[in-house]
Amino acid sequence: MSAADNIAERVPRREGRQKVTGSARFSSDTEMPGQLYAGILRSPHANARVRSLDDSAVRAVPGVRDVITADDVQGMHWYEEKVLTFSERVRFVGDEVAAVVADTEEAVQDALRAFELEYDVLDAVVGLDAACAADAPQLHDDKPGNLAAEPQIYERGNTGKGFAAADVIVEATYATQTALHNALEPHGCNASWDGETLDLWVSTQGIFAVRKGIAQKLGLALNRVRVHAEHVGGGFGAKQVDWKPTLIAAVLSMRNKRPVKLLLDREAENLAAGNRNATRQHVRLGATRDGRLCAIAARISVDGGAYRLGGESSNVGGCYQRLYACENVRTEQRQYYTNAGPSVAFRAPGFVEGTFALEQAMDELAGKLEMDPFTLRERNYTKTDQVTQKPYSSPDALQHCYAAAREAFAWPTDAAERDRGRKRRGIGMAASVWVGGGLNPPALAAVSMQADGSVTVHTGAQDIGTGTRTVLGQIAAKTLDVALQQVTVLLGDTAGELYSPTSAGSATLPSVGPAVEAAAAELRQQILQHAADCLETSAENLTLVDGCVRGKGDAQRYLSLAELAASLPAGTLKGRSANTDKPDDRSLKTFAVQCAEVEVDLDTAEVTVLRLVCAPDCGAVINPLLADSQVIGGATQGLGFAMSEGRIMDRSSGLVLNANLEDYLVPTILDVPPVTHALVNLPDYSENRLGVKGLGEPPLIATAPAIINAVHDAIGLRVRELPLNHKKLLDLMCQTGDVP
Amino acid sequence: MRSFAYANSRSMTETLAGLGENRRPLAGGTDLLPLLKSDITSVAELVDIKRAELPAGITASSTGISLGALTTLSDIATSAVLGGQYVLLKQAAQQAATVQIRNRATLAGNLLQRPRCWYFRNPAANCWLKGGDTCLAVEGRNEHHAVFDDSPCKAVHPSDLAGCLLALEASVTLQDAQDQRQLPLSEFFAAPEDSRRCETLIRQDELVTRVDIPRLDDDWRSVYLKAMDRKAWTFALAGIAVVMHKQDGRIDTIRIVVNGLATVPRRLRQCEDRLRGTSGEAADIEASVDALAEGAQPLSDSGYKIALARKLLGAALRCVINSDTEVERSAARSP
Amino acid sequence: MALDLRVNGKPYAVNVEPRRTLLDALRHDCGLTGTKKVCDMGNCGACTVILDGRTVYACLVLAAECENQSVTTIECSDQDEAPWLSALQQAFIDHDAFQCGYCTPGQLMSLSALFSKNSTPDEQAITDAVAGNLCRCGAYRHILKAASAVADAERAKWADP
Repeated sequence: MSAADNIAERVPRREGRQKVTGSARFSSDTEMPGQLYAGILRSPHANARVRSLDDSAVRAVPGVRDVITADDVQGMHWYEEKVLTFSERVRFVGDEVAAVVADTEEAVQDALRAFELEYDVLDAVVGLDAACAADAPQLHDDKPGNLAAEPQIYERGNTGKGFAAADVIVEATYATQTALHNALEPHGCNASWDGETLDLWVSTQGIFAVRKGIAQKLGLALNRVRVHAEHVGGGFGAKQVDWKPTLIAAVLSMRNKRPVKLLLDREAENLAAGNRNATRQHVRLGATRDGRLCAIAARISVDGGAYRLGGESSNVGGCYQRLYACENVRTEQRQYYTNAGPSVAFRAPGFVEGTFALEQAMDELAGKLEMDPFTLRERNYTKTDQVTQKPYSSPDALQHCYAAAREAFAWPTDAAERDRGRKRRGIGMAASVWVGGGLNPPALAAVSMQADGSVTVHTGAQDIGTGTRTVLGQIAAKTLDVALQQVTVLLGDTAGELYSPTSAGSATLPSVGPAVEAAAAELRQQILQHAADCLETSAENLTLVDGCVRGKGDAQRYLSLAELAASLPAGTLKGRSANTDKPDDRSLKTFAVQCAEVEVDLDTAEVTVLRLVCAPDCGAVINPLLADSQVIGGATQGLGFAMSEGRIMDRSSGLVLNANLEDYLVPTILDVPPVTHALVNLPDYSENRLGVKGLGEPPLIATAPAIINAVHDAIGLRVRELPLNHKKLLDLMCQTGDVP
Repeated sequence: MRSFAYANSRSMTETLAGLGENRRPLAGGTDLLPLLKSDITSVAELVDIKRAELPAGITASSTGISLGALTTLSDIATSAVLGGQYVLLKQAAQQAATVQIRNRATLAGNLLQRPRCWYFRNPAANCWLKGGDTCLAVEGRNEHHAVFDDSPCKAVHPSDLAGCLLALEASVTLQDAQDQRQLPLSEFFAAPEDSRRCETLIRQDELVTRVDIPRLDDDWRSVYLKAMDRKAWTFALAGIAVVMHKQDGRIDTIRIVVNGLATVPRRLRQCEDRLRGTSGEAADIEASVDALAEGAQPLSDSGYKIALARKLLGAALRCVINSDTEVERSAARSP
Repeated sequence: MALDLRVNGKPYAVNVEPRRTLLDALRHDCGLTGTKKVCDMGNCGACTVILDGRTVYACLVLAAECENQSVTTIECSDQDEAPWLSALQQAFIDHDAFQCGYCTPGQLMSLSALFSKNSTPDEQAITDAVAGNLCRCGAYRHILKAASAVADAERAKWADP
């Protein structure tokens, strides 16, 4: 039995009670004595120069305390382009221009309307076509052609020779849309400066990343900045860094010596807090008659917005390079600047976009070869990461995913079942690989026992809704054999200096979990040693069972943990651990396979997803209940990406027309069919002895192509641009003369 | 929102005194508050009319159905009075927005709500409807916009109920401080024009007090079908309301209205003409569907709505003519 | 303006501008931050509260409109005012019907109001009741499961022994 098998239990979320009673304190809920409120003035233009800014009327608004403009925040730079917090050149609708702080939120609104500005409006670059056009306005003086970076070109083998050897070639262009994270808790911060220490309550996925960024920009020592994030209302990738509002709140707090709360409204959230970059991908696959891939080529363009934010990059080419065995692969990825908010990681950045195209191309290839889509994929199975030439740490994991998904879905369904007159049913599948899921070192943890025998797990991680608090508690509870309710997990606070990585790349559990386990094991050893001293025996003769120290093989109670702990000076029982070593002889990746069944009503052009099956590889599963939530949640977001989500911009002005939750269509409960989590549960011990990998991202990646492949199976139309809304479907039906 | 005063009115007289551009009625607020928040509308004073002795509720009489202005969408969605021949009203209300909105939104407010056009609703866009020179959707993003060219404005009317009430030949009663007038919905809704950049003929000193529907016999049939890009909680891409009566196996009266294709709900008389006097065979339905696009001038990206409305019309006609229960089920949601 | 609000059976005397929404009044003036502000335009459901027995979006209601009415929020522990809330809360915990938890108060308010009218709702009634509550983490299937479990337990109570 593995360590994980011992731990695995379907227990509810540790903070469940707080979350269902409204008592969970999110950063946006904090309210302090003397609280002030701030707001940001944003550019209404996509590309412009601020010719003049007059804030005299703003200062006259009752309740206004302070206004800051470009001159007040000099020397603080943002993005890889090193622009100022408030720049005289604005490059997207929503770009920050100034900020105010006032006694009430209403006064902030009045103040923001009182600014008088004159802009020189420049032509806006909206979308990839505009960015690549020969006469396109240039966003950044040193970036000709609006190319944000050197093209990323990857090549192995010789694709020319590969395609020449192919019996069958499929080739098409696919496009994915700009998606908006829309975590429900907005980006924002409550900042409080007491003259020495800056306390920041931030909605963030990375408290240490925020601390570093803010301390650096303000020239403060790291130990003078403390970041709190007790509960976080979702992140999905968009809350990894110290966004401008945090700094602005901090500056205003320091200037006014009062706590300052600055929360983005939903529009700003959707304009200026990150997005999943739109892509265009020209894909070519070549295969032999028996379905072996001889060449893969993808030419990829990425709409990265006005600035490069850094962090997890959108590696669209990654899936082409790794998912299938193929000797000849070439991917070219070019990122372009456009006058839109900067893109940022969004749950499996790059791989969601790339897999949509690759897995449709594979489906098309399977069709041409008259081969079952599972068979085609399994024929091109690889146990090696062909980019690094290292074996996968779980070389059979994807095989397990194929088997689990096929079985849970009962693939293929009976063909006769699919044609129900004007309602056509279809099935589709897709596979995915993800580069995350492993250790992002270092990760520190301390586990201590208090005088009454209660246990405290302390880490600098944050729980963004993934269940981190619960799973870390489970690991400590099982290692010490105490009840989970007896364990408190402290996280979301930099004060303990127990560094944890940003919750990104599905790295939290595989990074912090093993650190907690090792710290708990050390504490366990201390407990046994002290108990042995008390009982005048050797620690080897003792074990921990159900909150007591007992003799091995002896049911007689020796010593309760409370008795033991009370007999020792405070602070004696404390284990610490750091998870720092990342082995590099193997390539740790995570995989998933998904199946979808859809129904298309030809009478109403209505597409309904009937069911989804997702079989993700995440190593050992610690909490199947929470794992189900992650998987269902990921597939739900994937469904939104497939069916309804997409930013819409005016092509000439660059206004974002649906920076809201009215026209940006996040799925409702009525959109989401039953989602089956086909449990794979294959421990991967290459990086930790728990056998765990991350699960945050894999469940989302293959959802959209599985759904769209199912639509193709149902009606024979291939949707190469997302999302699949009524317009796309009807335009396709009209182009092809409808569907018989 | 900008600052405003709030008054709680207890009577019609109190409410109607001084009603105008700066003193406006507040009922459900589900459209007015977003308009104020987005700075599309401003007002000096809001008069809460929820306790102002306005008619509320749904009553049936020998002459038809009367719906009070303050009747909520939830009242309509759950009404016992609105079954059978009037069922399309329930279907429309059930498919509109969400429980929370329906609990608050009133019938009068639903008819008077402003377009959801993303240019109109964006304070940074100076669109024609807000006094600008041109409709920005024409050269801009218009996939949610009109396919019939009846106004310089290309926004579509967002109400689901409006088209249904038009198909029922309903009328509204408007009251000002002195007088009241009754207008058929076919006149009340009027495509915005240069001198009146608004979708209805109501004056700012008037209140809608009630909506009256002429009586239909029990053997009339009706249906409302709505297409959305999400299973719930979006405004209609297209909606089709059909009210029909057969006499001796032949259709003697049929009224078809489409929502979502024009600045105001649009009666499709050309489609009605193809069916009147027929027995509603498949070929007749096809002929009616084929007539839908007559006169349409879609914008660059709104053409798909014709195909969509054609499909909905075909399904709606099969439903009322052939009692296609599967279609009916898809129109009904629990209230 | 001075207002007397009644929230969860308790009186709150607040002094607010007429433009203050019920949502802001609850969060700022009553200190009840369980009700969440996400879109402030009636497009998400996170601010769902029960006003005189019916669910509303608190962001689309002015505080001034709520005088002499009863407001119920997620903080309600009064069994008479929200008789189903505690069973639903426990079911949400048991079935993991949330992840980040930001939409949860709104979801529970919608279901609490539903169960007060219909204590054995079927799947369609449940999903329609929360169709106006977005969950970005995608906990919908577990929300349905949790609410169905409460309905099933109630059904079992009334079933023949």
